[in-house]
Amino acid sequence: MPYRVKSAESDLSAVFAKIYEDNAKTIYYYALRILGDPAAAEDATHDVFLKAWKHFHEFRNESNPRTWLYRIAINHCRNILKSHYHKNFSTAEDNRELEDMAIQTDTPLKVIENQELGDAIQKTLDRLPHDYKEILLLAADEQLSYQEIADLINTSTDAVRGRLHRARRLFIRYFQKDK
Amino acid sequence: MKKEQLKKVTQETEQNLNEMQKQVKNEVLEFNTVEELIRYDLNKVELPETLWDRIRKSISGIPASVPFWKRLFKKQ
Repeated sequence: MPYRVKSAESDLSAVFAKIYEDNAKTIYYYALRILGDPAAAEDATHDVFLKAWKHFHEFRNESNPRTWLYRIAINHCRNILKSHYHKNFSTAEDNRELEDMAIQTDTPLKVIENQELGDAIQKTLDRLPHDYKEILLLAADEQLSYQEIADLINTSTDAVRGRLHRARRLFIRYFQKDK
Repeated sequence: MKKEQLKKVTQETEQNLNEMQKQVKNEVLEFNTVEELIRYDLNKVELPETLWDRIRKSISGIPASVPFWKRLFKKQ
């Protein structure tokens, strides 16, 4: 959707408020599931929007504000995880053996609706390498194309497809094991 | 409370609990993909109510940056 950015401060504030309204929950959720802590996710979302405000000139009318915010959020969360916050930052490259598992991904996931569902999803995501967690959360956003995801994580669309497939398999394996 | 009354209340409570457990058990959700499950989870998560106020306070003293060429034209 187009956001008309004019230079008058009041116009900018109104556009920014609209961008927040349309995207804050998605960005907060991304930070929540990546960092695994509501307070840290709230702080991260605050920082993402603050950075976005400071760099508003980089946002063009034609571009999708969602991808722009994701770019800031991805970098911000990676920095948090790589610094003091979490020490066990692993990628799929560090866990090659995980990719050889034979898991069915075409059977539906059956879950019982209860308050622990969010915790179960968090627990499963926490067991995944960071790049798998990242790609699953991005792919879950229907507003993003594979090309946009590829651009966000600096890879090709083929690599996105492959990584996503492996991430799904591993998620299902851990999710069903933990149930 | 008399012993019989207490027994009745206990029975009623147990019955209610059983019915609640049945209801919970019946609500089995099915997702075709992991992404669907994540989207469902996202919809259930609530954004902290005070977040926008926090952001608004933080940005209130900072002017949003505008491209250098816009600043340049404004000055002339």
